Amino acid sequence: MSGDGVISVKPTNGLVATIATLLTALVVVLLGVSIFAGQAATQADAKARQASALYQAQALAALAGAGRSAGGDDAAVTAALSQALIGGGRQGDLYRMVERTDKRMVTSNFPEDQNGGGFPRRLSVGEKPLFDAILALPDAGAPTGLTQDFARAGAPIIVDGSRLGYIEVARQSDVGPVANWLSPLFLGLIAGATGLAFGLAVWRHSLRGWAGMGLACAIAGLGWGSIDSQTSLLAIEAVKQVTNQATLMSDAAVATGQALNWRLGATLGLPQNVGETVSGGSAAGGLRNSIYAIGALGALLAAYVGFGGARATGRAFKENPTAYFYVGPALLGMLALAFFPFFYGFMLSFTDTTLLNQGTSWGDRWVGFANYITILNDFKFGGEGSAFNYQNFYWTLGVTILWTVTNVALGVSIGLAMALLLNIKGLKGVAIYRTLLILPWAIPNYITALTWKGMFHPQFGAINQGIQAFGGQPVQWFDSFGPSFITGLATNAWLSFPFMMVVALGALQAVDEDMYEAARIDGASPWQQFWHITLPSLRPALLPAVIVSVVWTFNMFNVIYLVSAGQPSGSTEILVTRAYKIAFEEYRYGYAAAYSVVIFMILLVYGVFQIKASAATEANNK
Amino acid sequence: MAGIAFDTVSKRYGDVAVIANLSLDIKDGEFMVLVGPSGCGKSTALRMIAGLETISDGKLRIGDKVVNDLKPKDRDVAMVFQSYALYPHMTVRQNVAFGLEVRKMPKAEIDKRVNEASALLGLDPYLDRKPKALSGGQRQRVALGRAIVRDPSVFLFDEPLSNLDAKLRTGMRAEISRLQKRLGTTAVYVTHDQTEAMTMGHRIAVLAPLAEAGESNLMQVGTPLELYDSPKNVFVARFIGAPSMAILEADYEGKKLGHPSLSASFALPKKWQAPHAATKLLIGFRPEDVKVAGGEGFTNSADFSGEVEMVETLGHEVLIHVKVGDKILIAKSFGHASVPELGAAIKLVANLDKMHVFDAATSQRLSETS
Repeated sequence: MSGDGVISVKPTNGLVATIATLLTALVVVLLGVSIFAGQAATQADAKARQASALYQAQALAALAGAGRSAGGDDAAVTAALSQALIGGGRQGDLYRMVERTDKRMVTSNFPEDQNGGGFPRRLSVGEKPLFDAILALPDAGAPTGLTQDFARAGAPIIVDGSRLGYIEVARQSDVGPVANWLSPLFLGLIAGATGLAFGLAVWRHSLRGWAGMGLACAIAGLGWGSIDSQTSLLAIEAVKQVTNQATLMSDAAVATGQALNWRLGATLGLPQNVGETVSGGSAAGGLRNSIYAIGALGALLAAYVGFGGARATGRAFKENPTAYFYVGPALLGMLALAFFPFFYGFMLSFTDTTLLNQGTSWGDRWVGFANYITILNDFKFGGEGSAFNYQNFYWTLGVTILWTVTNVALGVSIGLAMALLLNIKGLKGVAIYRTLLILPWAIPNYITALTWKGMFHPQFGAINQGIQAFGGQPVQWFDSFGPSFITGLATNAWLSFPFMMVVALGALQAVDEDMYEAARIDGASPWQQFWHITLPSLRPALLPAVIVSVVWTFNMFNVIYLVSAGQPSGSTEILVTRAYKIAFEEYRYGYAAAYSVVIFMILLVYGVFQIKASAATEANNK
Repeated sequence: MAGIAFDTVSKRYGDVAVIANLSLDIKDGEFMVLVGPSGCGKSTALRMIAGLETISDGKLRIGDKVVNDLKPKDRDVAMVFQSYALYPHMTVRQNVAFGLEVRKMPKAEIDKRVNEASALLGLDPYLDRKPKALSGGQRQRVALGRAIVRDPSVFLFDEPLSNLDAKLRTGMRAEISRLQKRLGTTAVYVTHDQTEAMTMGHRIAVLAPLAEAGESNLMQVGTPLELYDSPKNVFVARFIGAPSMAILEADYEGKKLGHPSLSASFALPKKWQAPHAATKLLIGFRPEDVKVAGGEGFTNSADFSGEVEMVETLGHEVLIHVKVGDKILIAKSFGHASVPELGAAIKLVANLDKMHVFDAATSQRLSETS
């Protein structure tokens, strides 16, 4: 990077940089605004459509429920529904009514429902999800889908507290694209702020970076303000429409019900629904998050350009093109395989992304630090009933630490012992022993893990067979924490000692033989020689090995997942396997991402601490 | 304090004999230098004293005790290694104190001894440093310190100055000698450098590899001047002195020595016990006993003629290597004036009073009558 900061650049450069900064900021904001204003419109529309579809479903479900409780037959209820739709629905609305009794579809005008003959008809096997939805829907109903053309919502038909069936409604979009989002006022504001910051930057060119940053923030803020007002308008519009729709709909339902002499009213509670709808304006909230993000990004970019980062990067490229050419492929690979996934996971950790909502916008899924708070604030050690809650983060963390410490200690001791044995002078067949002892390392570790799992099989495993052969009682390895933990420990110790052995052996062979002779003459016993010479000599080699071994073990997914699989009831799970289960068995991607970030942070803190500690010992040995 | 005695000691690695029939008495308080070329067994002999090598045959005594089967730590010896063998993870203080600490000496006594040694060797500023932060000379001092704090009855030095540069080596040479004199501890010092041997040792034992030596490695023991003035054999004659003694093969017949490059054959000086029959003799001259003819000569001299092969100008003296027959005779001349051309024919005079004579068949010095 260039050494010259903001202050000491020549005026001409200052001018160029200022202009570059302004242009960058402008481009970022315009791009952001055009993307997000469009998105704002679409989202507000979608929310409104979903809300109104939900209304309609609720109103129709209430009507159908009233009809059924008044003893109306299929024909009467179907007639009432279509009549209510004529009164309060809109052209092109789709609806279907499914009932539990006989697994019937009472009526439907969904195009995909028309192939099964006339209504009412029995649901086909392929339509089972429709039947399942009866119990899956919440009492107040819920949106069931959102496509380009339709917003869908379903509401259960509830009579005397039991669910008869449900009504699903698909409502077409009728909120047109928002025109004039880039209002003259907004443009004027941008122009004014630009001029002001530009003047400031030229006048005090030494401060161009600050000016550029300030400007970028100002523009981002303005952009947000403008979009926020736009979306608020949209949201208000949507609420108005929905409320009108809801009023119309329930009026129509009530009218229809009264016409049919059905008891209605209490079941058609509008206030709750209107409140629901007003929060349809939360589309603006989700967007606001996006705007914050784009603003921050814009400010970062502006700062990068403004503070000379872009220029320095450009210069670096120009000065060492060959070096960058060579580094390029690796850099791209890193970007695609390491940095991007990391960044993506990091962003994911601030959302409540699950399997079901992963298609929605980031703004909608954004929950800030909620995942982290949930994870770190998890002090519920008692689960349901009296059982211990093994899914608790702190239990898992404790197990992970225990796992790491015991494994590394075991790996180092066995490895060191083997290395000392192999280092005995004049030992015959060292090459053979060394090869044999490195074998566990050479075999793919999932194969080793599965082999050990087989050996620990309570009924057929070699270990229990052996215990029984000597008259012992078979151990139920996976029924309680201790034995289950030991299965993993044994497997991982088996996997990890060769590495330590190789490292220790290498270090042992590098120890100056003279030192031992000097120590013998000094009067040191073999034990004193080991303690005062061998161990300290091994330290510089073993310490880095221990550091990486700790990280490997901390994240040793294979062994836990394959051998004990967290049995019993997740008690031997470590953090990574837990994160895996959250992500790929519970499908809570956002939460799992946060979990992973927490793991990363723990290891980061450990790594920094260790590197400092080992740097200190390195310095000591110099 | 103790003397050391090798009594027909030998050392074999499997079938390979390295030391045979070594008998050597080292007196109490003596500075004995073991010198010889690589493979002569000098280091092995030293390590046998230390207890780092087993003894295949014979007896080794330190003081009155036969120590063949004693462990190194029970022999009361201290050793300084060529590589210094300092413990890299310990500070200078810890390095020096280690030998005392493993012997469970009281803390106060350790401190006292370490401080004394440190003061003696000028290590005070470095006591809390690790060996890596020290220069070669400083490390050597630490190694010395580690040896002297133990206050052993014998010091063993295994080529301790080989890793130092020439200037430092000269300084440390003097320092080690002074230290030994001051402490009065028996010291055995191994080196391949005859200058070190000459300057440091009270007595020097010249060892030769068994292949050249025959019966025993030990070629000669004596004070530096004894070895210089009357080497017992050609090996010692060549090994001691720098540049080496030039040795020519001469024909002995009728009491006279002849050589093709001699202007005239000359009589064997009377002090030598002349062989009875005609034979071949080896005659040796040290460079300072050979001069370019023409200047101030010697009382008894022989005239050689030859061709200048090489001239080494050292400033205060000039060494002229002259090819005489198929051998080289080195003449030493002082001052700048007489530097001959390469390849020029030249006449030399050699001092017959300082001539060394060896039997060509046995390589042994002829007997002298004093």
